[in-house]
Amino acid sequence: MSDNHAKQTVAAARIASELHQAQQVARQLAISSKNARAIVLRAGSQAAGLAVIANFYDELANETITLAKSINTTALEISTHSVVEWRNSAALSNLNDAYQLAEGAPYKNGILSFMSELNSTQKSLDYSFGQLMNGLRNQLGEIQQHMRAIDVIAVTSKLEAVQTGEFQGHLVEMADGIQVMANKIKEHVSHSISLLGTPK
Amino acid sequence: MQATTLYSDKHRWIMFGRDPGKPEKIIDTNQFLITSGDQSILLDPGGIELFAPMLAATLKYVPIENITHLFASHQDPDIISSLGLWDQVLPNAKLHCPWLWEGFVRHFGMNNIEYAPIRDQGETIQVGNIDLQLIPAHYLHSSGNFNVYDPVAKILFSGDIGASLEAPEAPFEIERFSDQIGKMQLFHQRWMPSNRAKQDWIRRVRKLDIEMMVPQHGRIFRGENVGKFLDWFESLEVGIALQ
Repeated sequence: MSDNHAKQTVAAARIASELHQAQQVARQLAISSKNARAIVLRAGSQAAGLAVIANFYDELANETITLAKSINTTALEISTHSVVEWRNSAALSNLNDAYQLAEGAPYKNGILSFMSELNSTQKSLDYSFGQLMNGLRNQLGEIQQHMRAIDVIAVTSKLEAVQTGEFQGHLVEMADGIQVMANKIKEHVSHSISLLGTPK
Repeated sequence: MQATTLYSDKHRWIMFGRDPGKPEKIIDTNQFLITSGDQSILLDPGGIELFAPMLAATLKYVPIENITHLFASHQDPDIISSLGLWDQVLPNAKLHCPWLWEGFVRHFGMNNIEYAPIRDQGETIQVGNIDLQLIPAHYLHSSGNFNVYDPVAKILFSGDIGASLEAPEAPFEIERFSDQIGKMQLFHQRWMPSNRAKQDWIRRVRKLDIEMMVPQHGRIFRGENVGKFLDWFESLEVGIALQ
């Protein structure tokens, strides 16, 4: 992994930026879901079935915002962690070079304890890095699931909207808008996942 | 990394430089190790690119735990960008560096080494059994800048003052002062901004008993070449970028 540190640091920072944009879209999504709820209230008994759906929108949009915030934090942690690991591995590599160069130097074994300490720090950093990356993958997967759910709900709500008479056009338009936003978020998440590369 | 002993009695001065493995486009630098008893100080330990050969060279003379002090004459990368790596192997060392640069120098990475800020007027520090004087050389060529003077060995480490750029195979010592002028002139005129600061430093340094003046780049001035340098520098107009 050590040769990849710069790429990982940059990838994590780019994911943070992708998710920041996804968060903006999720905010719009939350507003749209509130609008949907208002229309459903106005439609009254004709749109009773849609009330539950509007609540779902709202819930998923808010959860997406929370998740996006938390992914931002995780991505930042990964970036910082990656830099620490990078420095540690640079120190280790330099000590290895020094040890080779110091052939015949009477005090060269004095750096062995530092090399061993850096080695074990490296192992523990590798482990915690893996954990952070898995956490990030899971969080991104969760957002993707939310977006799939929103997509399904949008299709269902378009079918339900048929029963709302004069509100049908409005509700269908809104569901279409919600689908567009969900797709945007999905794109940001897919891009983020592709930046993570293949899990090891 | 080549090494040469400059002074060896109850304590020792070793000069490192002319590293054959040095990447081509970085400037050649001199590093100094002073050892006394079970303590040592590295003067301007160098850039990050030089860390491995410098550490390897140092371990030929002292155990790592005996490097208890570092000195950085100023903040430049060729002086001290290796700090983050020394920091990993010197858990109990002090870095003596102008107070002015603390917030900047820490950007090189410093979790273990203690920053010992040098006051503007200078001070004396003890390394093993010797006292080293930290002599102000502000604005020559950095706004916070110090030299190190050892009154027993009569050596002045002059940082960038007296520096010259040399070919990798150049000897450590100046043979004829007049041959050196061409290699020093533009550097001193361009990198040292103040004639007033220059005169202040010369006045201060003329009071010291100096047998050897050792800069961070280029060759050593020994004996009468020290005085020749001071005379030449005194009459040199510096800060020419404004002219």
